[in-house]
Amino acid sequence: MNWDEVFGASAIAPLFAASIRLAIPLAVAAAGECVAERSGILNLGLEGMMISGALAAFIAASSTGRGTVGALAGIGAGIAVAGLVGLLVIHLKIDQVIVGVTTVILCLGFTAYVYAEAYGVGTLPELPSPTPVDIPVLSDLPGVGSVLFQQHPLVYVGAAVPFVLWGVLRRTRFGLDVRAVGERPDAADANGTNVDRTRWKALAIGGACGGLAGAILVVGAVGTYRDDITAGRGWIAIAIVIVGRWNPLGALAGSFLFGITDALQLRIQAAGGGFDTSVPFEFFSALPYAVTIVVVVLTTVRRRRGAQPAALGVPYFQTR
Amino acid sequence: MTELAVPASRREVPFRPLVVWGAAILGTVAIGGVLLVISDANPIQAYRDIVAGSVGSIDSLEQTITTAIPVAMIALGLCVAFRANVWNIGGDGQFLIGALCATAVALTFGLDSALLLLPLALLAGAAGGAVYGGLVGGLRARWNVSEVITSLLLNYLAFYLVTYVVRQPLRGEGSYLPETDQLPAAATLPTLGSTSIHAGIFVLLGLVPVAAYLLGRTPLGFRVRMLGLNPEATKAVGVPTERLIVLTMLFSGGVSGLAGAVQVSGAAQFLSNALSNNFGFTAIVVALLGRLNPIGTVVAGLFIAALTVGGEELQRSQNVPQPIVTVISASFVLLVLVARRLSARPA
Repeated sequence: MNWDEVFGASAIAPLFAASIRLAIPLAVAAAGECVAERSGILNLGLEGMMISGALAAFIAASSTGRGTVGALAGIGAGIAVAGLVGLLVIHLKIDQVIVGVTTVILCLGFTAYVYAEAYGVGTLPELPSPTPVDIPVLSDLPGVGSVLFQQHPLVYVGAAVPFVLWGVLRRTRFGLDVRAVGERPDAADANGTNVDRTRWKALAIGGACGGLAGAILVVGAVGTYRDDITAGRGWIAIAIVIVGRWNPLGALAGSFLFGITDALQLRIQAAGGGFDTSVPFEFFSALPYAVTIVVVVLTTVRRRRGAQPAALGVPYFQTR
Repeated sequence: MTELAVPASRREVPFRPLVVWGAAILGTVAIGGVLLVISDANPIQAYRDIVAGSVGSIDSLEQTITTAIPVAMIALGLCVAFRANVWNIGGDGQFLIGALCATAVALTFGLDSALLLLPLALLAGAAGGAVYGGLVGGLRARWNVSEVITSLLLNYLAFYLVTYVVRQPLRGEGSYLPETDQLPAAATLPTLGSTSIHAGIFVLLGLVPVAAYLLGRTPLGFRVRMLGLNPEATKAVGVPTERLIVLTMLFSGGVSGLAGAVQVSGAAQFLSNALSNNFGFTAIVVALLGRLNPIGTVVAGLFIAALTVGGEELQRSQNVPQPIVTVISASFVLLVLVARRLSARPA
C-alpha cells in the first residue's frame, strides 16, 4: 500500500477535487433541507427525493445526451416527491416522521422498479461524459486552480445553491416568512402569513434541491446509476443540517467534512489500502458514517437547542 | 407551544375500521394494477400468481412463514419503540450485530450440548442488539440526539463490521466467498417435523404475548404509551423519561438482535453480510401496518411476507420486477394513514 498515492504531493489536488465532487450533492440536499426544516417541516423523505432525482436525471440525461436536461428532470422528480409528502404532511397533517420514512421506502422501491423495467436486460446507456469546465485564467492557478476550477458544470451550479438559499433565508421576505413559520407559526398566522403555503414552498425547495442533488451525484460525480446509488446520503444530509445549525452555509461546511472523508476512503481503497494492510478496508468505508455520527453528537450536545426551529415537526392547523 | 387540542368529541365515519382498510386495500390494488399494466403484465393473473406463489401450496406457505419470522420479530421490537415515539430506524444494524454476536459465540465455544450452546448464542445476539440499540437510546435520552439519524448511520457501521468479520477473523474454510463456516449443529435451530420452518417461529410466537403483556398490562408499558402520546405530561407527572427511552431502545434493539441470532441459527446457519435483505426497513412498514400492536404486527408480517414471496413468483412468471412489492406495501401504509385521517374530523 503506497501512502504516497494518497497523500503525496501529486495526489493532494485530485483528492480535494474528488472531495468537492462528492460534497456538492450533499451540500445541495442539505441546503434545501435547511429551508424546509426552518419552516417547521421535518422532511425525512429527503433520501427518497435524492434517489428519485438521481434516476430521473440518469434516464433524461442518457436519452437526450444533455446533462442539463438530466438536472431539470432531477429537480422535477424531487418536487414530485415533495408534492406527495406535502399533501400528507401539510394538507392532511399526518405525522411527519412516519410519512418521511415510508416515503423513502416507497421511493427506493419505486426507483428500483423503474430501473429494472427500463434497463432490466442489457447494458446501461452511457451518460454524457462529464467534460470538466475549464474556467480560463483561474484554472491555471497552481494547485488550487485545477481543483476548484475544472469541475463539471453541474458542480458549479450545485456549489451556488447553498449561497443562494442562505441569501433567501436571510434577506428576502419569503425567507423571513419561512423562519417565522418554523419558530412561531401561530404568531406568523396571526400576522397574516399563510403558514401552509409558506411550508409548501419551503418543502418544494427542499424537494427540488434533493432531486438536484441526486442529479448532480449521477451526472456530475459518479457518472452512472445503480440501485441505492445514494447510499444513505439523504440521511447524511439531514444530519449535516443539524451539524450546520440549520444554516445552508454551515451545511456546506459540514458537507465538505463528509466529502473529504469520503474521497479519502475511496482513494485509500483505490491505492490498495485495506486489503493487505493491518487496517481493513471496511474501516475506511465505514469512516464517513462514523465521522458523521460523532460530529452530529458533538454538535447536538453543544447548544443545539437554540438553533433548532421551535416548531420543527409539529403540525399546525392554521386559521382560515 | 402550538399544540392542537384534540376535542373530546369527533365526527367519525360509520364502520370506520372497515371503511379505512377497505379504501386502503382498494387504493393499493389500484396502484398495483397500474404498475402491473405498465410492466406488461395481466393484473388479474398477476394477483393470482401472488396468491399462488405465497399460499398456494404447502411449500410456498412454509416459505412465507419462514420469510415472515425475522421481519415480524424486528417489527415487534419496533412496536414498543414507536409507541414511545422513539423512531428506531436501526433495525437492520441491530439485527446484524445480534447475528454477529450469536455467530461469534457459536463458533468460539465448542460446546456440544444444544441445550447450552443455542440459548447462549441467542442470548448473546439479544444482548448485542440491545447494547447497539441502547446506544441510540442513550444518545437520545441524554442529549436529545435524533435517534433517526444515529440509528440509521449505525446500520452502515454494523454492515461494515460484519463485512470485515466474515472476511477475516471468522472467515470460513470452505468457500472463497466472505462468509463464516456453517454453525455447529448445537447452535442451530431445528426445523419442525417435515416442514422447512425452523424453530425460530416459537421464539416469535413466544415474544408476542410477552410484548403484548408488557405494553398493555404493565405500568412500564403504560408509561411507554403515555410517553408517545404526551411527552410533556409524562414528564410533568414525574416519570423518568430518560430511563424510559433507553429501556425502549434496549428492548427494541434486543429483539432485533434476537431476530438476527434466530435468523443466523435457524434460516441461514452461517453468517455473511447479506443476512439481512432490508429486513429493518420492511419491519417499519410491518409495524406501521400492524398499528403498532403485537398481534397486528404478526398478521401484517405474514401479509408482507406473502406479498414478498408471491412477488418472487410474479417476477418468475410474468417478469415483473420484484421491487413492485415494496411499492405496494409502502403505498398501502400511506393509504391507511390517509384513510384514517380522512375518516375522522374534529367536531
